[in-house]
Amino acid sequence: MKTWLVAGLMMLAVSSLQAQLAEPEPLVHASGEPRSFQVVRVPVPHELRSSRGAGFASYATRDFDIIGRGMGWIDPRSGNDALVTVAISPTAVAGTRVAGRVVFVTQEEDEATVGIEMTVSPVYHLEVRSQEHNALYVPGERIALPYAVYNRGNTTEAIRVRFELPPNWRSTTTDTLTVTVEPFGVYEGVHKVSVPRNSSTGSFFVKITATSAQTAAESLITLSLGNSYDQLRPLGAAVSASVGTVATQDGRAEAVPQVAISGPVANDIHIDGRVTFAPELSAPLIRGLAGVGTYVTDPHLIAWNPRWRASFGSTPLAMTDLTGVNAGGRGFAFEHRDSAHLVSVVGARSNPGFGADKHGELLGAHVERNLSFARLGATATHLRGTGVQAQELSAIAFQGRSYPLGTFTLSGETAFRSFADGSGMGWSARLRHERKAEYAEFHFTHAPGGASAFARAENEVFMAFATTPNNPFSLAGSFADARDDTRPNYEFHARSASLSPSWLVSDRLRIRSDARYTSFDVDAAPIGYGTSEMLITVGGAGVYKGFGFGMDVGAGRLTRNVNADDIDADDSGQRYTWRSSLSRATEVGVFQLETNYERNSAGTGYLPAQFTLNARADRVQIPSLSERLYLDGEIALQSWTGMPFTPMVRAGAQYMWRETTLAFGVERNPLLTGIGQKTPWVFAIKLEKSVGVPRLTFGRAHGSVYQDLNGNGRRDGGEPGVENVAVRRGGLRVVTGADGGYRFWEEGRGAVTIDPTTLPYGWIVSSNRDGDIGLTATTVLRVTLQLGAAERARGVDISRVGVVARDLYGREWRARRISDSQAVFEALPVGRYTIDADFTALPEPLRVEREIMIDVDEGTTSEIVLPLAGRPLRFNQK
Amino acid sequence: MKRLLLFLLLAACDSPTDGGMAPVNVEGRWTYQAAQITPLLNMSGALDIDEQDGRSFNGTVTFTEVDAQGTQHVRAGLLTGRVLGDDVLDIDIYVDAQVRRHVGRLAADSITGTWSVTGAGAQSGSFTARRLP
Repeated sequence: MKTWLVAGLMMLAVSSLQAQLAEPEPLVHASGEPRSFQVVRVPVPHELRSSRGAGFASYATRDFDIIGRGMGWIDPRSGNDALVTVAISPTAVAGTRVAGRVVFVTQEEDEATVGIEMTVSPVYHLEVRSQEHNALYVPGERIALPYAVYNRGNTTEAIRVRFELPPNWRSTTTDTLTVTVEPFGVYEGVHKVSVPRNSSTGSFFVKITATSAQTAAESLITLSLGNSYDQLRPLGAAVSASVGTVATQDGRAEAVPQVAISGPVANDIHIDGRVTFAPELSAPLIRGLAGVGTYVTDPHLIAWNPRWRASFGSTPLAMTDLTGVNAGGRGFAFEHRDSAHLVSVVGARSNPGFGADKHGELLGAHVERNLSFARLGATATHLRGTGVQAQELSAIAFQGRSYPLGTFTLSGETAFRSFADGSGMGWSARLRHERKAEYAEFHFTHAPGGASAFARAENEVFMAFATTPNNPFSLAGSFADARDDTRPNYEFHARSASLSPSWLVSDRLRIRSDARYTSFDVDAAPIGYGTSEMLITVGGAGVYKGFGFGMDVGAGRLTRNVNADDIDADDSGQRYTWRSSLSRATEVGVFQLETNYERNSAGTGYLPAQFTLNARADRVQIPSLSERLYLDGEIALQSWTGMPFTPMVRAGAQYMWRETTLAFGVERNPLLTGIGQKTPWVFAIKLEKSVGVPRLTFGRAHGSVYQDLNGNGRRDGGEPGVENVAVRRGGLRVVTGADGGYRFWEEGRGAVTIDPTTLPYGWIVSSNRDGDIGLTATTVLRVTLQLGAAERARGVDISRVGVVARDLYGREWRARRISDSQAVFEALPVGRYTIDADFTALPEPLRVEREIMIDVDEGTTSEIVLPLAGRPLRFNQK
Repeated sequence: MKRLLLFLLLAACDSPTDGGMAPVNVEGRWTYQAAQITPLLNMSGALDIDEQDGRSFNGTVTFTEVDAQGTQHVRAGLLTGRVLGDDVLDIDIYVDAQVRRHVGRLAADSITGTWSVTGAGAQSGSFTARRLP
């Protein structure tokens, strides 16, 4: 019996709902917060309490749920109540309302319903969001700041939104507004601000505050401001011309003019070049010039962009391991690459080495093709160097590189190498694993001809690994073995191995250690010699109260030998080292103090004892002097066993104003002339003037934003440009200049568009022809719909009549209805329009009584009346 | 026993590395030219051997290093060395925290040989030095 009763209750519950709504029902009250559960005790209605048994079932209304079975059987005579658990949903709106009902049905088939009235507590929570604005703006620009105010609470809030701007910035929309936001609703708006023309530049903040009676929230927008449109325009290369003059006390004096250029010259093309007119200089003079920043080098000019690179003059040559490394000369080199190909060629003549007065030739070509599974390449070279260390190589090689696993790179090369004393096949293989800062590498090269044929060595093995240095414990190690029997007049074999653990104790301290073995053997018949060294160092480095410090102590063993016809000398001994450094970088300069001490056993090849103390200061600014003046200096005290004490002194000053630099340097270094000799003071002065050259442009999108006064889509004479309008192309953004012109300096993709929020108020884009963007002013036009007398008398409803304006091109503009009889065009572009009405939403036929044509001018608010009348009725007689 | 001691003493004096009387005098100023094969470097300057004590000597070195691109750097440092046998010179040049070991043979007024660096991969080359009058 209970079963049929409970099953029937479910149907009754629904079918009785409508009847219950119409009649007052008893209610039980409860309250709770969203996301909570409330156990509600529902008593059996009074009229059913005499029943011998009753079933009950419960159901919930929207925003609520019944947890558990929600039904059961009770004996009304016992005085028990029905217990129901009501869940309040997270989105339940605050207030009191019926959360559900419980229907009771007795054995006697009497029925009654009790409502559950739930008071949902209010929750107040606001949130303000705004977009990040990292784009650069300029003074005078109008900026639109989209923002959103979220009412995360469950009660309707009247929210006061307020904007706080940087000083002198002005809102072009109201600074404070009050909006009403429904529970869980959002208000989205755009706040427009005007940046003063005389604003300083840098980062500025706009604060948005949302406040209700119960809660508040805020958000900060960061805006970056550049100086001007001209500053946004990328600069061209800087050309600097300098004259360095150097002299010593012994009367030698030389002037070294130098011209250098560096920076972008056109679009994304950069160049770097230098020409130095240097006479034959002695070592002290060269060093003196270096002190003021003049370096003597062969002239060179390098130009590059992301896809190609060309160099002229001094040209390095580095093809592949088997086709030539570590070469260079004077000539040209060119390389072009894209995602699929790489092509490079080089043609140069090598500088003559010692013992030669003729140049060699350096010719090479390399191509690479990127396939889906690997990158394949081919190289051909013909290289010849002259002098005592003459080198020669003609080679043709093939390379391949693939990525068998995500972090592994496998590459290989094979080559036929022809050199002075023969020829042979060479090969190399390299396996490299790299993941973030971790790496491991194995590399083997066999290059017949060795270093005499432009390889690093004839046979070379290299292994290395390093774990992530940011881990508390990190480890790095290496092993290298290079053997070369081809060098002019001698054979060479070098080995090295190292293991370097370190422990990052804290952010400010790292403990480090290094165990290192190095050795070489030279066989220059009839003399052979070699050196080997094993050294273990332990130390640390860190930062404390702004000071950087480091200290390492080491101990090891040295062995050296010489063997010749009548000589068999083997020596070995101990080696101890100590190094420390202390440095401090401040706003007035960088200061550093270094000390080194070594002690070595006799016969090991090192000095028995050596101590150096070096104090250095760089870019020091004296507060009481000009901030354009920088000073630097260095004192090195060096002491060696058995040798006189030798202090080295160097000082320099640099004064900069505008694009001109005056540098002065002086140095006294006994090592340059020999200890015991008269040590000269070397003086050097350099005057350098830099000039920024205009950046050439071609081939990139450019155009102008202008007032298209006659609306013909072309810029005619007398149509002024519009400045400070942001123009976008893909991710690029530029701002129009005073004449309305703009130019993208980098390559971008996509159509040129403008940021409408930066347009002058009331202007819209009317045309975009090849990047020339015409703007048309808009104005407000109010239209009043006027019914004829007969229709007015009949009370015809015209609230749904649409109002449209058609321009001369047939484009249609639609007005917003603001009352039963009025509509408004809020931004109608300047031009001539026919005003019409759309009656399709009306049940009753109407017509425009008289077509209206109107000329809309800039900046005026017009009002017109559009007369409407009923359509004449026509009766057909049958 | 005395004969044995005398023999050992004489044998010790014949050692090619002892500080005894040197068969050659290397004091003075020498031009210095050296070349490194890879990477290509040409070096030219001077050796100043200021002091010789028996087979040991020391002094300073200054040279200009020119790489394949023509960039010039000045190196300056100390040198120490020893005379081995009759004419072999073993010279260590200390520049920029490196020890460049030079071993060559003295013939007339010039030294010709090779040099190499420990701890710096495969750096090596040839050198010549000529005594200046």
